Amino acid sequence: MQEHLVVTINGTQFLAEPGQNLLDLINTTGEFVPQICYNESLGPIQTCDTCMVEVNGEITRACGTTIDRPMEVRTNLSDVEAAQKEALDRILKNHELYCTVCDYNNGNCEIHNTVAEFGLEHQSYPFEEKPYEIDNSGPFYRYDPDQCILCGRCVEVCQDIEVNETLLIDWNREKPRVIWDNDVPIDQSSCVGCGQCVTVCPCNALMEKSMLRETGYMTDHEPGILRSMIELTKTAETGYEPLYAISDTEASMRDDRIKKTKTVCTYCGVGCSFDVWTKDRKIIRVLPQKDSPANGISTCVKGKFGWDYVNSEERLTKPLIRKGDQFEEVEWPVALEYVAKRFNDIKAAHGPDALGFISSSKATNEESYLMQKLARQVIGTNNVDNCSRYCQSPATKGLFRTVGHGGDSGSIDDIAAADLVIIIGSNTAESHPVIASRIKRSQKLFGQKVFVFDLRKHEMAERADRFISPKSGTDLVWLSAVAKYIIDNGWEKKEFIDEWVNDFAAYKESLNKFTMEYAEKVTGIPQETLKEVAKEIVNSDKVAICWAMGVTQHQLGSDTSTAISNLLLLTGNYMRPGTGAYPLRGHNNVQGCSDFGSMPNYFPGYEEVTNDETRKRYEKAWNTELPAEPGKDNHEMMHAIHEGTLRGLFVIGEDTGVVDSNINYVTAAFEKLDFFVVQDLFFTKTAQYADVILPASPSLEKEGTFTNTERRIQRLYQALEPLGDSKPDWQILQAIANEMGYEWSYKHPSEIMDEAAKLAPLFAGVSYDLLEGYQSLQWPVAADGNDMPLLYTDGFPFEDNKARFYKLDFELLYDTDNEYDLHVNNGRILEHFHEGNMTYKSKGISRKTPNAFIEISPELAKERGVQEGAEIKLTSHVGEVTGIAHITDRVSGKELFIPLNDNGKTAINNLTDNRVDKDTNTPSYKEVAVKMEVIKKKGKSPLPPNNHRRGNRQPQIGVRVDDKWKRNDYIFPGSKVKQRG
Amino acid sequence: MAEPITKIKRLEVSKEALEQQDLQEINHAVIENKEAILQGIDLLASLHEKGFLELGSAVVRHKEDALANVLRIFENPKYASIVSNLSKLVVLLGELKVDELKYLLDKLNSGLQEAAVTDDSVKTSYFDLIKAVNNPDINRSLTMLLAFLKGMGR
Repeated sequence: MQEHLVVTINGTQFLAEPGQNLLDLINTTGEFVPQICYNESLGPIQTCDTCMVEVNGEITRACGTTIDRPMEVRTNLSDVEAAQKEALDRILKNHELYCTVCDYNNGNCEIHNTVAEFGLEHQSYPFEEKPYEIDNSGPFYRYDPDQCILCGRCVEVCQDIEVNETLLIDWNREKPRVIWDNDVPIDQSSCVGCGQCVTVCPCNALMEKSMLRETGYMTDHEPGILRSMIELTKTAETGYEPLYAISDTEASMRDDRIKKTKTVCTYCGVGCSFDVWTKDRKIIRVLPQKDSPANGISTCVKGKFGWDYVNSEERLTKPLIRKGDQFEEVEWPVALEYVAKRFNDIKAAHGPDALGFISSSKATNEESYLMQKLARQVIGTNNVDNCSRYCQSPATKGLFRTVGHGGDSGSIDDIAAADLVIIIGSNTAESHPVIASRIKRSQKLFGQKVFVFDLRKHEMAERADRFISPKSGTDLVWLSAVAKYIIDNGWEKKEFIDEWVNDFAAYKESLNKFTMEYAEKVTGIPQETLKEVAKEIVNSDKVAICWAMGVTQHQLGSDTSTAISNLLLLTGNYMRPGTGAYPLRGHNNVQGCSDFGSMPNYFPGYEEVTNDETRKRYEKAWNTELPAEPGKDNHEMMHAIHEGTLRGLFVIGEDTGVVDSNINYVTAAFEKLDFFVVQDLFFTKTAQYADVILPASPSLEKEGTFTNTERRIQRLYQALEPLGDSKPDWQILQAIANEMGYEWSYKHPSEIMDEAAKLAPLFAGVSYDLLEGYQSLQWPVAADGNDMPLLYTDGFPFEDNKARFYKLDFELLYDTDNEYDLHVNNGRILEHFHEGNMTYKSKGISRKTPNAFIEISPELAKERGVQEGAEIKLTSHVGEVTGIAHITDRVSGKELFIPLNDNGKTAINNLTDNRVDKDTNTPSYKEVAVKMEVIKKKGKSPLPPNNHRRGNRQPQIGVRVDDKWKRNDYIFPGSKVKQRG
Repeated sequence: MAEPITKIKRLEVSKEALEQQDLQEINHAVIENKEAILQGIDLLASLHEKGFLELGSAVVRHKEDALANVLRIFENPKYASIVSNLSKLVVLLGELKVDELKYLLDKLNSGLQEAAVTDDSVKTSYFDLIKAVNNPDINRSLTMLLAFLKGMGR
């Protein structure tokens, strides 16, 4: 235990932790000290000077004071208050107060609230305009220099929280302002549109464009009139107090028209949560909270601004039934009766296993639960799966083999706390932006080391302390060689292994093959480099390994994931904070969709369907007999359709005909189906093959829970009514079950969760009460409601409480050859998601990134004589794509890259084939060899000039407040007070 | 066998059916809120009678123009000072000690009453003035006025 220090504040004694921030302490005591630039999530910035206090007789900034000795603090002396007032006056010189007609006056304007609470009555320095125009150039937010108080929060968040390093304040100008990159308009900068600057801005200087002229009762006016109203407001107000009275009243009236609803993001697996502000059906603001458990105040462009799809005119609003060569809109009873009848017919004629069910990783846990219940209870088949088959099943497999839980070992906080983060096959900055930001911050500010193993020099690779590029599909080899080298040198964590891990001897023997020479030959990584990596891993106290599709979407995806876990066990990097395995989950609820039983071999909570005891539990609860054999996974379902054994298919929220591998084969299967039901928001490519299309509602229109990559279960609340006749998936599933003669009677998703929690021990203590608001639970959740943010702290979930090493072999199964001589890598880009059905509906996103493209290395471009904008055709063994070339050194040599976000002629899955991971049937999307044909040698670049990738980042630490203090016109408010005194 | 198709035939709901649906909804709302609606009709009738309804609709229709006109007036420094004077007056009102003012005004009122019945033709001589100081009413007035002058000079 550290000793506490005594801090006396206005005569009352408080105990403080050494190293605690003084302002933090004061804020816990109920004493009021004005503060504008200070924000708990950002830490002290020290630009606004309003938190002046007297410490041991000296006037100083409370936020800039670390408690390192006993202190006598006074916050209410007249000198102190005079200094605070001086600082507030300086802020109001930079900020015109016209609250009542300001769109930011929603009760949470920090300038308004601070000035009002301080009781400032009159302005000592008149407001001064700055000689700059409003910057309206970007698609998502605008900057008004005249309202900017130069607190630097936006710079702090951009430099050190998001770490995109776009914003700075130029303190050297006569009138400082925030600038983007090297002083270019927002739209031309490296800004990725994460919106965090807007989120933390304490006033209306940075505002979401969707807020402008929307929030207030008197803000919806033409700019000229608004200006006049501002002038009138100022003339009419002789002091601030009447202004506050009026604007506070108006602000509280706004609550009546603006609804604020907590929700969880529906894009990637980070699981950001935030309040979404809606006015009727308009989505005007997304506001993450400091208590958002996964993300704090952070978001990426998709979560902050990518919601246009919800109100898209392309949304399905009525059920559709195929009749002849067209779909016809019908009412719900007609559609439900038809679906029930056809399911029953197929079941009667061909048995329950002639039907297959594919759940959606976009839908909620409760909906995954009902989908598998529909398959198992109502139909009587285990043919139920979800899209984790396309991505992270191999990681789950690798973890089940070694440590026993198929999820991240810890939380995002643990990744941030690691001494060394190894990222393998993950472009984290684009695929999991908010997690990437935590890593970038730890690396930038706290000395965390980052090693990246990837083919492509993406942002994380550029930032890495080491960027190593092994030959595609050979990660297993270098991981095993490093493990062998560690053992050969006796560096393994012997005590940890003795106590916690089985099968060391067999594992050690299995590594014989993986010599340094062999690894160098197979992976192309020099032996010296591998040896250095081994040493660094051993010398780092806490190692976390993050991986994604670059590992799993290979024929040896499960084995490679296993090799990662083996290495972590060998070096004792489990069971402690800051360590562990982090297979970064791709979709908002890809974790939860598997967790809640949409798997052919598992009931909810990963209990085998073959286990009699488990099955009996469900049979009793559901009052029916259940099939004992595992069903077919997605991939096997497609084969079974071609074979004629699977005749009916029900797909929820998944554009299978675009996102499955070898889509020619998949869509050919769809054509062979007797009956095909697709449930989606949009009329997708897959839906074109359907017999019935059911209109579903997106996350904002329903309640439920999602589980993020940290195993964190979070609630979403309903912000909008379902559009048209669309319905939440759980209601549709219930209606189908009831139409088929069952009596499901869930009135609310919480009742579905209660049932799942009662049946699956992994979720025993989960209940909606414990998930209220921003509360969350990380499974496993014990019956008493205790959850487990860090796994394995008491051992591993096997009978003897010990983990296991798992033996592996390696054989190179994929390579390019003389004819198909180029390797096609593929993956996500930041601003689009999956096949793009949602993100292409966003005008702002599409303006900057209108379509997919094909990245080509400068050397290959030279060799083949292609230039930027060339049109090229790529042909693999199974299909072809055409697309526009973008020449970049992110790729090298004979490697190409295609963003997977396209559903047209550049859709990557025209090229991928039927090869799969041998253990999980996950398609080996990353093993594509092609030949290239040039259709047109040059053309218009597929990347618009305002794409952020063309920007020019300006890294620095924070806002550089020292530069402000060095200015000739800067006088410390404390000393100014003393002068006057 | 199902070829991919993209044609959608929309469900044609007849105009009559839609109207019927809307009417039902309105009927329902009317029944639910009978009292409020009847009162509302009373209010509307009175507004109509006095011509406010017409005036109101015109203002709403031309809301932006009207606002612009009003604001243009206030941009003129002459009128702008009205607004600022108004708000200053409001502040002043707050500072006035109404109880004391009332006392003073009561006195002023009775003074005015007395003055109103005075015969203009009567002349007051210097002696009358000296004599009047002895009149208790006049003396009280003088004392009060002197005190007032003293306070005002501070």
